[in-house]
Amino acid sequence: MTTVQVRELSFSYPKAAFQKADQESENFQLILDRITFEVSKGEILGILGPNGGGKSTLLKILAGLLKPTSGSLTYHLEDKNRGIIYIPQKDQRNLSYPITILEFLESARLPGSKIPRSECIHALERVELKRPVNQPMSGLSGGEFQRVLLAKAFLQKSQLILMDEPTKGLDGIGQDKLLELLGEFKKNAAVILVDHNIAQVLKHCDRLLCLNKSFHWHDHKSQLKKNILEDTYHCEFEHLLIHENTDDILNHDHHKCSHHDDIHEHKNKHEQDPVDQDTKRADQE
Amino acid sequence: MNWITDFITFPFLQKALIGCLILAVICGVLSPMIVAKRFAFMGSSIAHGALLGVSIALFLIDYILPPESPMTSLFVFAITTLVTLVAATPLALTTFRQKLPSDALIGLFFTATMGLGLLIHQSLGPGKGDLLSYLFGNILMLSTIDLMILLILGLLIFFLIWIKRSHWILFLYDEEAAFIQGLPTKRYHLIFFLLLTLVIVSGLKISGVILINSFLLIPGLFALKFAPSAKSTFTYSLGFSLMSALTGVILANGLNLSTGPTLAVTQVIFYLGSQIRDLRRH
Repeated sequence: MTTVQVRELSFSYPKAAFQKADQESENFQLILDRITFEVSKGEILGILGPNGGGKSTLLKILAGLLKPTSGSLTYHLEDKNRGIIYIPQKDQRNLSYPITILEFLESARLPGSKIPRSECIHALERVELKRPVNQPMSGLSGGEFQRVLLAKAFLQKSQLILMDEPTKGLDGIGQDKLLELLGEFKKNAAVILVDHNIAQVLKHCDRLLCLNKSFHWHDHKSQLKKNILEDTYHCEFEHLLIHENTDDILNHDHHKCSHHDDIHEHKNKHEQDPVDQDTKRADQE
Repeated sequence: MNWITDFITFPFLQKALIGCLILAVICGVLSPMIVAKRFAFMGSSIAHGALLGVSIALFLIDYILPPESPMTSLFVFAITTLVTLVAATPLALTTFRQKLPSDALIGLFFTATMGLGLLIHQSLGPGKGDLLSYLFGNILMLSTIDLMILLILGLLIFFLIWIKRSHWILFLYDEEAAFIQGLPTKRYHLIFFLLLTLVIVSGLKISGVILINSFLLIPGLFALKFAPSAKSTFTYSLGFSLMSALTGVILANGLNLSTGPTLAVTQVIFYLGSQIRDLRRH
Protein backbone atom coordinates (compact mmCIF):
# COMPACT_ATOMS: atom_id res chain seq x y z
CA MET A 1 0.00 0.00 0.00
CA THR A 2 1.25 3.46 -0.87
CA THR A 3 2.59 5.28 2.20
CA VAL A 4 3.01 8.68 0.66
CA GLN A 5 1.79 9.94 -2.68
CA VAL A 6 3.02 13.21 -4.16
CA ARG A 7 1.26 14.74 -7.13
CA GLU A 8 2.37 17.82 -9.09
CA LEU A 9 4.07 19.28 -6.03
CA SER A 10 5.73 22.68 -6.43
CA PHE A 11 7.54 24.84 -3.95
CA SER A 12 8.99 28.35 -4.04
CA TYR A 13 10.98 30.22 -1.43
CA PRO A 14 10.27 33.93 -1.04
CA LYS A 15 13.20 35.83 -2.47
CA ALA A 16 15.39 37.78 -0.12
CA ALA A 17 15.05 41.54 -0.41
CA PHE A 18 18.56 41.98 -1.78
CA GLN A 19 18.10 39.43 -4.57
CA LYS A 20 17.23 40.74 -7.99
CA ALA A 21 13.99 39.45 -9.41
CA ASP A 22 14.48 37.45 -12.58
CA GLN A 23 12.15 36.63 -15.42
CA GLU A 24 11.00 33.41 -13.79
CA SER A 25 9.22 35.10 -10.98
CA GLU A 26 9.13 38.52 -9.44
CA ASN A 27 9.22 37.63 -5.77
CA PHE A 28 9.68 33.88 -5.52
CA GLN A 29 12.47 31.46 -6.31
CA LEU A 30 11.20 28.19 -7.72
CA ILE A 31 12.78 25.21 -5.99
CA LEU A 32 10.50 22.32 -6.97
CA ASP A 33 8.35 22.24 -10.08
CA ARG A 34 5.44 19.78 -10.36
CA ILE A 35 7.15 16.79 -8.76
CA THR A 36 5.25 13.51 -8.85
CA PHE A 37 6.22 10.27 -7.13
CA GLU A 38 5.08 7.74 -4.57
CA VAL A 39 6.63 5.33 -2.13
CA SER A 40 5.17 2.31 -0.38
CA LYS A 41 5.88 0.24 2.69
CA GLY A 42 8.74 -2.14 1.95
CA GLU A 43 10.54 0.29 -0.32
CA ILE A 44 13.50 2.60 -0.01
CA LEU A 45 13.29 5.63 -2.24
CA GLY A 46 16.63 7.27 -2.92
CA ILE A 47 16.66 10.89 -3.98
CA LEU A 48 19.63 11.92 -6.09
CA GLY A 49 20.54 15.30 -7.43
CA PRO A 50 23.04 18.13 -7.26
CA ASN A 51 23.31 20.68 -4.44
CA GLY A 52 20.48 23.20 -4.54
CA GLY A 53 18.33 20.81 -6.56
CA GLY A 54 15.56 20.81 -3.93
CA LYS A 55 16.18 17.41 -2.31
CA SER A 56 16.34 18.61 1.30
CA THR A 57 13.45 20.99 0.69
CA LEU A 58 11.37 18.06 -0.55
CA LEU A 59 12.17 16.06 2.60
CA LYS A 60 11.18 19.03 4.77
CA ILE A 61 7.88 19.27 2.90
CA LEU A 62 7.29 15.55 3.45
CA ALA A 63 8.09 16.01 7.16
CA GLY A 64 5.54 18.83 7.36
CA LEU A 65 8.12 21.51 8.15
CA LEU A 66 7.40 23.41 4.92
CA LYS A 67 4.13 23.82 3.08
CA PRO A 68 4.09 23.16 -0.67
CA THR A 69 3.12 26.08 -2.90
CA SER A 70 0.87 23.82 -4.97
CA GLY A 71 0.17 20.16 -5.64
CA SER A 72 -1.04 17.38 -3.39
CA LEU A 73 0.64 15.31 -0.73
CA THR A 74 -1.27 12.29 0.59
CA TYR A 75 -0.13 10.18 3.52
CA HIS A 76 -1.52 6.78 4.33
CA LEU A 77 -0.35 6.47 7.94
CA GLU A 78 -2.06 5.09 11.01
CA ASP A 79 -1.03 8.12 13.06
CA LYS A 80 0.80 10.96 11.34
CA ASN A 81 2.23 12.33 14.61
CA ARG A 82 4.23 9.26 15.43
CA GLY A 83 4.26 7.88 11.90
CA ILE A 84 7.04 10.10 10.58
CA ILE A 85 10.66 10.30 11.68
CA TYR A 86 12.82 12.95 10.07
CA ILE A 87 16.59 12.77 10.39
CA PRO A 88 17.92 16.14 9.24
CA GLN A 89 21.11 16.92 7.37
CA LYS A 90 22.33 19.39 9.95
CA ASP A 91 22.66 18.32 13.53
CA GLN A 92 20.16 20.59 15.24
CA ARG A 93 20.61 19.26 18.72
CA ASN A 94 20.77 21.66 21.62
CA LEU A 95 24.08 20.34 22.93
CA SER A 96 23.97 22.38 26.13
CA TYR A 97 20.82 20.56 27.24
CA PRO A 98 21.61 17.45 29.31
CA ILE A 99 18.83 15.22 27.93
CA THR A 100 19.70 11.52 28.19
CA ILE A 101 19.14 8.85 25.55
CA LEU A 102 16.40 7.36 27.73
CA GLU A 103 14.61 10.69 28.11
CA PHE A 104 14.80 11.27 24.37
CA LEU A 105 13.39 7.83 23.63
CA GLU A 106 10.68 8.31 26.26
CA SER A 107 9.52 11.40 24.40
CA ALA A 108 8.30 8.96 21.74
CA ARG A 109 5.67 7.69 24.13
CA LEU A 110 2.08 7.75 23.10
CA PRO A 111 -0.49 9.68 25.12
CA GLY A 112 -1.28 7.78 28.29
CA SER A 113 1.31 5.03 27.91
CA LYS A 114 4.90 5.21 29.07
CA ILE A 115 7.55 3.23 27.25
CA PRO A 116 9.37 0.97 29.72
CA ARG A 117 13.14 1.28 30.05
CA SER A 118 13.61 -2.32 28.86
CA GLU A 119 11.92 -1.47 25.54
CA CYS A 120 14.21 1.51 25.08
CA ILE A 121 17.25 -0.70 25.66
CA HIS A 122 15.87 -3.25 23.19
CA ALA A 123 15.35 -0.50 20.59
CA LEU A 124 18.97 0.60 21.00
CA GLU A 125 20.12 -3.00 20.57
CA ARG A 126 18.02 -3.20 17.44
CA VAL A 127 19.93 -0.29 15.90
CA GLU A 128 23.21 -1.72 17.19
CA LEU A 129 24.03 1.19 19.46
CA LYS A 130 25.98 0.09 22.51
CA ARG A 131 25.58 3.06 24.79
CA PRO A 132 24.12 3.25 28.31
CA VAL A 133 20.63 4.76 28.25
CA ASN A 134 21.55 7.26 30.96
CA GLN A 135 24.24 8.85 28.81
CA PRO A 136 23.55 12.40 27.64
CA MET A 137 22.64 12.83 23.99
CA SER A 138 25.29 15.55 23.71
CA GLY A 139 27.99 12.87 23.99
CA LEU A 140 26.84 11.07 20.84
CA SER A 141 28.46 11.44 17.45
CA GLY A 142 26.36 12.38 14.42
CA GLY A 143 26.12 8.74 13.33
CA GLU A 144 25.12 7.58 16.81
CA PHE A 145 22.51 10.31 16.99
CA GLN A 146 21.01 9.00 13.75
CA ARG A 147 20.79 5.56 15.29
CA VAL A 148 19.00 6.91 18.37
CA LEU A 149 16.48 8.53 16.03
CA LEU A 150 16.05 5.20 14.28
CA ALA A 151 15.53 3.55 17.66
CA LYS A 152 12.81 6.11 18.31
CA ALA A 153 11.28 5.25 14.92
CA PHE A 154 11.30 1.61 16.01
CA LEU A 155 9.59 2.45 19.33
CA GLN A 156 6.97 4.63 17.65
CA LYS A 157 6.47 2.06 14.90
CA SER A 158 7.05 4.89 12.43
CA GLN A 159 5.78 4.16 8.95
CA LEU A 160 7.72 6.82 7.09
CA ILE A 161 11.43 7.42 7.71
CA LEU A 162 12.98 10.48 6.10
CA MET A 163 16.77 10.74 6.10
CA ASP A 164 18.78 13.64 4.72
CA GLU A 165 22.31 12.62 3.76
CA PRO A 166 22.60 9.80 6.33
CA THR A 167 25.95 8.56 5.06
CA LYS A 168 27.65 11.95 5.37
CA GLY A 169 30.71 11.64 7.59
CA LEU A 170 30.56 7.83 7.75
CA ASP A 171 33.25 5.53 6.37
CA GLY A 172 32.40 2.81 3.84
CA ILE A 173 31.66 0.16 6.47
CA GLY A 174 29.57 2.59 8.50
CA GLN A 175 27.60 3.54 5.40
CA ASP A 176 26.91 -0.09 4.55
CA LYS A 177 25.84 -0.90 8.11
CA LEU A 178 23.47 2.05 8.28
CA LEU A 179 21.90 1.34 4.92
CA GLU A 180 21.57 -2.36 5.70
CA LEU A 181 19.80 -1.31 8.89
CA LEU A 182 17.39 0.72 6.78
CA GLY A 183 16.78 -2.47 4.83
CA GLU A 184 15.50 -3.96 8.10
CA PHE A 185 13.31 -0.95 8.79
CA LYS A 186 11.69 -1.02 5.38
CA LYS A 187 9.90 -4.26 6.30
CA ASN A 188 7.46 -2.15 8.30
CA ALA A 189 7.92 1.28 6.79
CA ALA A 190 8.66 3.31 3.72
CA VAL A 191 12.09 4.93 3.74
CA ILE A 192 13.05 8.03 1.79
CA LEU A 193 16.66 9.08 1.79
CA VAL A 194 18.59 11.86 0.17
CA ASP A 195 22.23 11.16 -0.50
CA HIS A 196 25.10 12.27 -2.70
CA ASN A 197 26.62 8.80 -2.60
CA ILE A 198 25.27 7.49 -5.91
CA ALA A 199 26.88 4.08 -5.50
CA GLN A 200 25.25 3.46 -2.12
CA VAL A 201 21.88 4.74 -3.29
CA LEU A 202 21.94 2.49 -6.33
CA LYS A 203 22.97 -0.43 -4.16
CA HIS A 204 20.46 -0.08 -1.34
CA CYS A 205 17.42 1.74 -2.72
CA ASP A 206 14.52 0.18 -4.60
CA ARG A 207 13.15 3.26 -6.29
CA LEU A 208 14.86 6.44 -7.36
CA LEU A 209 13.93 10.06 -7.72
CA CYS A 210 16.45 12.07 -9.70
CA LEU A 211 15.77 15.68 -8.90
CA ASN A 212 17.11 19.00 -10.01
CA LYS A 213 14.49 21.72 -9.50
CA SER A 214 12.21 21.54 -12.53
CA PHE A 215 13.79 18.30 -13.82
CA HIS A 216 12.71 15.09 -12.15
CA TRP A 217 12.65 11.43 -13.01
CA HIS A 218 11.08 8.75 -10.83
CA ASP A 219 10.89 5.01 -11.29
CA HIS A 220 12.27 1.70 -10.14
CA LYS A 221 16.07 1.70 -10.18
CA SER A 222 16.10 -0.93 -12.92
CA GLN A 223 14.74 1.70 -15.29
CA LEU A 224 17.56 4.14 -14.65
CA LYS A 225 19.69 5.11 -17.62
CA LYS A 226 22.99 6.90 -17.46
CA ASN A 227 21.73 9.87 -19.41
CA ILE A 228 19.03 10.45 -16.77
CA LEU A 229 21.73 10.87 -14.14
CA GLU A 230 23.75 13.07 -16.45
CA ASP A 231 20.73 15.24 -17.15
CA THR A 232 20.09 15.51 -13.43
CA TYR A 233 23.62 16.46 -12.49
CA HIS A 234 24.51 18.29 -15.71
CA CYS A 235 27.66 16.18 -15.69
CA GLU A 236 29.17 13.45 -17.78
CA PHE A 237 29.73 10.18 -15.91
CA GLU A 238 32.60 8.30 -17.48
CA HIS A 239 32.70 5.00 -15.64
CA LEU A 240 29.28 4.65 -14.09
CA LEU A 241 27.87 1.16 -14.24
CA ILE A 242 24.19 0.79 -13.66
CA HIS A 243 21.79 -2.15 -13.72
CA GLU A 244 24.66 -4.29 -12.50
CA ASN A 245 24.71 -6.82 -9.81
CA THR A 246 24.82 -4.65 -6.69
CA ASP A 247 28.07 -6.24 -5.64
CA ASP A 248 29.78 -4.89 -8.73
CA ILE A 249 31.73 -1.71 -8.64
CA LEU A 250 29.56 1.34 -8.96
CA ASN A 251 32.12 3.96 -9.60
CA HIS A 252 30.67 7.43 -9.52
CA ASP A 253 33.81 9.30 -8.66
CA HIS A 254 35.11 9.63 -12.17
CA HIS A 255 32.90 12.09 -13.86
CA LYS A 256 33.50 15.25 -15.78
CA CYS A 257 31.56 18.27 -14.68
CA SER A 258 30.45 20.30 -17.62
CA HIS A 259 29.49 23.91 -17.77
CA HIS A 260 25.87 24.70 -18.18
CA ASP A 261 26.52 25.88 -21.73
CA ASP A 262 27.37 22.31 -22.68
CA ILE A 263 24.28 20.72 -21.24
CA HIS A 264 22.31 20.61 -24.44
CA GLU A 265 25.26 19.15 -26.27
CA HIS A 266 25.43 16.32 -23.71
CA LYS A 267 21.73 15.72 -23.90
CA ASN A 268 21.90 15.32 -27.67
CA LYS A 269 24.80 12.94 -27.34
CA HIS A 270 22.88 10.70 -24.89
CA GLU A 271 19.78 10.71 -27.02
CA GLN A 272 21.77 9.35 -29.94
CA ASP A 273 23.87 6.94 -27.93
CA PRO A 274 22.08 5.58 -24.86
CA VAL A 275 24.17 3.75 -22.33
CA ASP A 276 24.81 0.17 -23.06
CA GLN A 277 25.84 -1.47 -19.83
CA ASP A 278 27.45 -4.47 -21.46
CA THR A 279 29.55 -2.32 -23.73
CA LYS A 280 30.60 -0.26 -20.73
CA ARG A 281 31.56 -3.34 -18.77
CA ALA A 282 33.56 -4.62 -21.69
CA ASP A 283 35.29 -1.24 -21.93
CA GLN A 284 36.31 -1.41 -18.31
CA GLU A 285 37.56 -4.92 -18.49
CA MET B 1 18.31 42.70 65.09
CA ASN B 2 18.23 38.98 65.29
CA TRP B 3 18.91 37.34 61.94
CA ILE B 4 16.35 34.55 62.32
CA THR B 5 13.81 35.59 64.98
CA ASP B 6 12.94 38.76 63.06
CA PHE B 7 11.14 36.57 60.56
CA ILE B 8 8.89 35.31 63.34
CA THR B 9 8.37 38.72 64.92
CA PHE B 10 7.66 40.96 61.93
CA PRO B 11 4.80 40.13 59.53
CA PHE B 12 6.34 42.17 56.66
CA LEU B 13 9.46 40.01 56.86
CA GLN B 14 7.33 36.88 56.82
CA LYS B 15 5.67 38.13 53.64
CA ALA B 16 9.07 38.95 52.19
CA LEU B 17 10.38 35.48 52.98
CA ILE B 18 7.29 33.68 51.65
CA GLY B 19 7.25 35.86 48.51
CA CYS B 20 10.92 35.19 47.86
CA LEU B 21 10.53 31.45 48.30
CA ILE B 22 7.50 31.24 45.99
CA LEU B 23 9.35 33.30 43.37
CA ALA B 24 12.36 31.01 43.83
CA VAL B 25 10.20 27.93 43.15
CA ILE B 26 8.60 29.51 40.07
CA CYS B 27 11.93 30.68 38.67
CA GLY B 28 13.50 27.37 39.62
CA VAL B 29 11.17 25.67 37.15
CA LEU B 30 11.38 28.29 34.41
CA SER B 31 15.08 29.13 34.63
CA PRO B 32 16.56 25.96 33.02
CA MET B 33 14.00 26.33 30.25
CA ILE B 34 15.00 29.95 29.64
CA VAL B 35 18.69 29.04 29.49
CA ALA B 36 18.12 25.93 27.34
CA LYS B 37 15.92 27.88 24.93
CA ARG B 38 18.52 30.68 24.81
CA PHE B 39 15.92 33.18 25.95
CA ALA B 40 18.22 34.98 28.43
CA PHE B 41 18.29 38.21 26.46
CA MET B 42 14.58 37.86 25.77
CA GLY B 43 13.84 37.62 29.51
CA SER B 44 15.97 40.66 30.22
CA SER B 45 14.24 42.55 27.45
CA ILE B 46 10.75 41.72 28.69
CA ALA B 47 11.78 42.71 32.22
CA HIS B 48 12.93 46.12 31.02
CA GLY B 49 9.87 46.40 28.78
CA ALA B 50 7.68 45.88 31.86
CA LEU B 51 8.73 49.34 32.95
CA LEU B 52 6.39 50.76 30.28
CA GLY B 53 3.49 48.89 31.89
CA VAL B 54 4.48 50.07 35.38
CA SER B 55 4.65 53.70 34.20
CA ILE B 56 1.20 53.49 32.61
CA ALA B 57 -0.23 51.73 35.70
CA LEU B 58 1.24 54.36 38.05
CA PHE B 59 -0.19 57.12 35.84
CA LEU B 60 -3.67 55.58 35.66
CA ILE B 61 -3.97 54.48 39.26
CA ASP B 62 -5.06 57.88 40.65
CA TYR B 63 -7.87 58.08 38.13
CA ILE B 64 -9.15 54.55 38.72
CA LEU B 65 -8.60 53.66 42.38
CA PRO B 66 -9.04 55.67 45.60
CA PRO B 67 -5.82 56.48 47.52
CA GLU B 68 -4.38 53.65 49.64
CA SER B 69 -6.70 51.13 48.02
CA PRO B 70 -5.92 47.48 48.88
CA MET B 71 -6.37 46.71 45.18
CA THR B 72 -3.33 48.80 44.19
CA SER B 73 -1.05 45.76 43.81
CA LEU B 74 -3.57 43.89 41.69
CA PHE B 75 -4.17 46.95 39.52
CA VAL B 76 -0.46 47.54 38.90
CA PHE B 77 0.05 43.83 38.20
CA ALA B 78 -2.90 43.66 35.78
CA ILE B 79 -2.00 46.81 33.82
CA THR B 80 1.71 45.98 33.70
CA THR B 81 0.98 42.44 32.53
CA LEU B 82 -1.49 43.64 29.91
CA VAL B 83 0.81 46.34 28.50
CA THR B 84 3.87 44.05 28.52
CA LEU B 85 1.97 41.25 26.82
CA VAL B 86 0.60 43.55 24.12
CA ALA B 87 4.06 44.99 23.50
CA ALA B 88 5.78 41.58 23.55
CA THR B 89 3.26 39.67 21.39
CA PRO B 90 4.85 40.71 18.05
CA LEU B 91 8.19 39.65 19.52
CA ALA B 92 6.75 36.27 20.54
CA LEU B 93 5.26 35.68 17.09
CA THR B 94 8.34 36.70 15.12
CA THR B 95 10.74 34.63 17.19
CA PHE B 96 8.82 31.37 16.67
CA ARG B 97 11.01 28.98 14.65
CA GLN B 98 13.00 32.00 13.57
CA LYS B 99 16.26 30.90 12.03
CA LEU B 100 17.62 34.41 11.68
CA PRO B 101 19.24 35.98 14.74
CA SER B 102 16.50 37.76 16.62
CA ASP B 103 18.75 39.64 19.04
CA ALA B 104 18.43 42.90 17.11
CA LEU B 105 14.65 42.65 17.28
CA ILE B 106 14.80 41.98 21.01
CA GLY B 107 17.17 44.92 21.47
CA LEU B 108 14.74 47.16 19.61
CA PHE B 109 11.88 46.05 21.87
CA PHE B 110 14.07 46.57 24.94
CA THR B 111 15.04 50.15 24.01
CA ALA B 112 11.64 51.22 22.73
CA THR B 113 9.57 50.02 25.69
CA MET B 114 11.98 51.16 28.40
CA GLY B 115 12.50 54.56 26.79
CA LEU B 116 8.78 55.05 26.34
CA GLY B 117 8.13 53.94 29.91
CA LEU B 118 10.57 56.47 31.35
CA LEU B 119 9.19 59.24 29.13
CA ILE B 120 5.61 58.50 30.21
CA HIS B 121 6.62 58.52 33.86
CA GLN B 122 8.56 61.78 33.53
CA SER B 123 5.94 63.61 31.47
CA LEU B 124 2.64 62.33 32.79
CA GLY B 125 3.17 61.08 36.25
CA PRO B 126 6.26 62.44 37.97
CA GLY B 127 5.96 61.75 41.66
CA LYS B 128 3.26 59.16 41.12
CA GLY B 129 4.38 55.94 42.80
CA ASP B 130 7.92 54.86 43.42
CA LEU B 131 9.29 53.85 40.02
CA LEU B 132 12.73 53.27 41.52
CA SER B 133 11.29 50.46 43.67
CA TYR B 134 10.25 48.69 40.49
CA LEU B 135 13.71 49.15 38.99
CA PHE B 136 15.63 47.58 41.87
CA GLY B 137 12.86 45.92 43.90
CA ASN B 138 11.50 46.72 47.33
CA ILE B 139 10.42 43.69 49.24
CA LEU B 140 8.74 45.85 51.90
CA MET B 141 6.11 46.73 49.29
CA LEU B 142 4.90 43.10 49.14
CA SER B 143 1.22 42.76 50.04
CA THR B 144 -0.97 39.71 50.66
CA ILE B 145 -2.39 40.17 47.16
CA ASP B 146 1.13 39.98 45.73
CA LEU B 147 1.63 36.68 47.52
CA MET B 148 -1.69 35.39 46.18
CA ILE B 149 -0.66 36.37 42.64
CA LEU B 150 2.65 34.52 43.04
CA LEU B 151 0.87 31.46 44.43
CA ILE B 152 -1.65 31.34 41.56
CA LEU B 153 1.21 31.73 39.09
CA GLY B 154 3.03 28.86 40.77
CA LEU B 155 -0.04 26.62 40.37
CA LEU B 156 -0.40 27.69 36.73
CA ILE B 157 3.20 26.72 36.03
CA PHE B 158 2.69 23.40 37.76
CA PHE B 159 -0.28 22.55 35.56
CA LEU B 160 1.16 23.89 32.32
CA ILE B 161 4.75 22.70 32.60
CA TRP B 162 5.42 20.24 35.36
CA ILE B 163 2.67 17.79 34.39
CA LYS B 164 3.79 17.61 30.73
CA ARG B 165 7.49 18.09 31.36
CA SER B 166 8.60 15.28 29.04
CA HIS B 167 6.93 17.09 26.12
CA TRP B 168 8.53 20.35 27.21
CA ILE B 169 11.88 18.57 27.36
CA LEU B 170 11.56 17.50 23.71
CA PHE B 171 10.42 21.03 22.79
CA LEU B 172 13.49 22.49 24.46
CA TYR B 173 15.89 19.96 22.96
CA ASP B 174 14.68 19.81 19.37
CA GLU B 175 11.74 22.02 18.44
CA GLU B 176 11.63 20.65 14.89
CA ALA B 177 11.38 17.04 16.09
CA ALA B 178 8.67 18.07 18.55
CA PHE B 179 6.73 19.72 15.72
CA ILE B 180 6.98 16.63 13.49
CA GLN B 181 5.85 14.49 16.40
CA GLY B 182 2.67 16.54 16.53
CA LEU B 183 3.36 18.67 19.59
CA PRO B 184 1.70 22.09 19.28
CA THR B 185 5.06 23.88 19.31
CA LYS B 186 3.63 27.30 18.53
CA ARG B 187 1.27 27.00 21.50
CA TYR B 188 4.21 25.89 23.67
CA HIS B 189 6.23 28.88 22.48
CA LEU B 190 3.42 31.31 23.28
CA ILE B 191 2.67 29.69 26.66
CA PHE B 192 6.34 30.00 27.52
CA PHE B 193 6.27 33.67 26.58
CA LEU B 194 3.13 34.25 28.65
CA LEU B 195 4.59 32.55 31.72
CA LEU B 196 7.85 34.43 31.33
CA THR B 197 5.98 37.74 31.26
CA LEU B 198 3.81 36.81 34.24
CA VAL B 199 6.82 35.72 36.31
CA ILE B 200 8.73 38.89 35.49
CA VAL B 201 5.82 41.20 36.34
CA SER B 202 4.95 39.37 39.54
CA GLY B 203 8.59 39.35 40.66
CA LEU B 204 9.21 43.07 40.06
CA LYS B 205 8.55 44.07 43.67
CA ILE B 206 11.00 41.49 44.96
CA SER B 207 13.93 41.86 42.59
CA GLY B 208 13.03 44.78 40.37
CA VAL B 209 13.30 45.16 36.61
CA ILE B 210 17.08 45.03 36.57
CA LEU B 211 17.73 42.26 39.08
CA ILE B 212 14.92 39.78 38.21
CA ASN B 213 17.34 38.37 35.64
CA SER B 214 19.40 36.79 38.39
CA PHE B 215 16.37 34.66 39.35
CA LEU B 216 15.65 33.86 35.72
CA LEU B 217 19.14 32.88 34.64
CA ILE B 218 21.51 31.79 37.39
CA PRO B 219 19.60 28.72 38.71
CA GLY B 220 19.22 27.49 35.11
CA LEU B 221 22.89 28.02 34.35
CA PHE B 222 23.80 26.01 37.43
CA ALA B 223 21.33 23.24 36.56
CA LEU B 224 22.39 22.86 32.94
CA LYS B 225 26.01 22.61 34.02
CA PHE B 226 25.61 20.03 36.75
CA ALA B 227 22.35 18.10 36.23
CA PRO B 228 22.87 14.60 34.79
CA SER B 229 19.55 14.56 32.93
CA ALA B 230 16.94 16.92 31.54
CA LYS B 231 14.38 16.05 34.22
CA SER B 232 16.90 16.66 36.98
CA THR B 233 17.60 20.18 35.68
CA PHE B 234 14.32 21.16 37.31
CA THR B 235 15.30 19.78 40.72
CA TYR B 236 18.86 21.16 40.57
CA SER B 237 17.53 24.56 39.57
CA LEU B 238 14.83 24.49 42.27
CA GLY B 239 17.36 23.56 44.94
CA PHE B 240 19.78 26.29 43.88
CA SER B 241 17.05 28.89 43.60
CA LEU B 242 15.55 28.10 47.03
CA MET B 243 18.91 27.95 48.82
CA SER B 244 20.16 31.21 47.33
CA ALA B 245 16.85 33.03 47.90
CA LEU B 246 16.70 31.94 51.56
CA THR B 247 20.30 32.96 52.15
CA GLY B 248 19.79 36.25 50.32
CA VAL B 249 16.72 37.26 52.35
CA ILE B 250 18.38 36.38 55.66
CA LEU B 251 21.56 38.27 54.70
CA ALA B 252 19.59 41.30 53.51
CA ASN B 253 17.75 41.48 56.84
CA GLY B 254 20.75 40.71 58.99
CA LEU B 255 23.10 43.15 57.27
CA ASN B 256 20.34 45.73 56.65
CA LEU B 257 20.81 45.67 52.88
CA SER B 258 18.41 46.09 49.98
CA THR B 259 16.84 42.71 49.19
CA GLY B 260 16.96 42.82 45.36
CA PRO B 261 20.70 43.46 45.03
CA THR B 262 21.48 41.11 47.95
CA LEU B 263 19.54 38.28 46.28
CA ALA B 264 21.30 38.89 42.96
CA VAL B 265 24.78 39.00 44.50
CA THR B 266 24.07 35.91 46.64
CA GLN B 267 23.04 33.94 43.55
CA VAL B 268 26.16 35.06 41.67
CA ILE B 269 28.38 34.05 44.64
CA PHE B 270 26.64 30.66 44.88
CA TYR B 271 27.14 30.12 41.14
CA LEU B 272 30.79 31.14 41.23
CA GLY B 273 31.26 28.86 44.24
CA SER B 274 29.91 25.95 42.22
CA GLN B 275 32.56 26.62 39.55
CA ILE B 276 35.49 26.14 41.96
CA ARG B 277 35.63 22.42 41.18
CA ASP B 278 36.00 23.24 37.48
CA LEU B 279 38.68 25.87 38.16
CA ARG B 280 40.67 23.32 40.16
CA ARG B 281 40.38 20.83 37.30
CA HIS B 282 41.87 23.37 34.87
